[in-house]
Amino acid sequence: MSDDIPLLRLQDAWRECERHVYHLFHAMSSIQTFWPLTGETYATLSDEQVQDVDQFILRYTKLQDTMGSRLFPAILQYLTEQFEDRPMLDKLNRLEKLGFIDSVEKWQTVRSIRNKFAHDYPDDPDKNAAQLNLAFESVSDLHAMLSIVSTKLKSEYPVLELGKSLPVESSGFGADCD
Amino acid sequence: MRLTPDQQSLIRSAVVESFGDAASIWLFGSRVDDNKRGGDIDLLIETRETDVAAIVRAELAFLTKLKMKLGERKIDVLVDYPTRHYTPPIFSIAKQTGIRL
Repeated sequence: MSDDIPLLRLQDAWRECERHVYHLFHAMSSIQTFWPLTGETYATLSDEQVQDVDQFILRYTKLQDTMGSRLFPAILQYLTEQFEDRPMLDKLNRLEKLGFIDSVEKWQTVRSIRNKFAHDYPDDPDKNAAQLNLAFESVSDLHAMLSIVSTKLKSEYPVLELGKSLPVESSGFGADCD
Repeated sequence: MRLTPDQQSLIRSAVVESFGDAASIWLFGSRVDDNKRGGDIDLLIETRETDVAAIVRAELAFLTKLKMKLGERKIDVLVDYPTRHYTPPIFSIAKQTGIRL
């Protein structure tokens, strides 16, 4: 058993991301039957469907929070980069430079989608539906970001044991998104 | 108003890039009050766009642009558009008490 704390932290953060991805995909497979949403379908979702949507939002949010607050800092720490007390944007730019993030802007975009979930628009089902559709589409971006991290870690730092690999994205999801 | 001229012009140009130049912008809430400190940046954007999916995309593009330029900062945006089924009172209050940017 390794006592290398940065290594253990990174492995833990990765496993947490994997768990969220697994449940996120599970929620998406339930939602697939009534997706894409419209204002009308959103307003008339059954209680079970609302639960599926809530599960999606929860895991989408948790996945990003884990990536931003645990995985990204853990990568920098593992590489002994001195970025602990720097603002988030500095950390992200550094990770982009190191090749762990392909586009900081893409990351900021999914962050904005996630932050929108903090607000509900009880009076605007059209907007709620459009927001959710956009979030579903963006899951393929999130998944791609994690794949970049895992590919890079596996090839350059083979001592790391990242656990299971990411589930493959369910086929067809994200297509026909307009 | 507690936004620097630089911040104001960043916000204006990000709105134009995302929503087009026909959009109007109001700053409202605590940032209008010179006697307060810090706080969220509350904005109301009025657009002529009627397609909600396009509006949500524009709003997202706007927030991302601002975040890249202003850093992580709490920005709350309301978007008013012609095809809204119901307009909560906050929209008219924001226009009455806010400052046009």
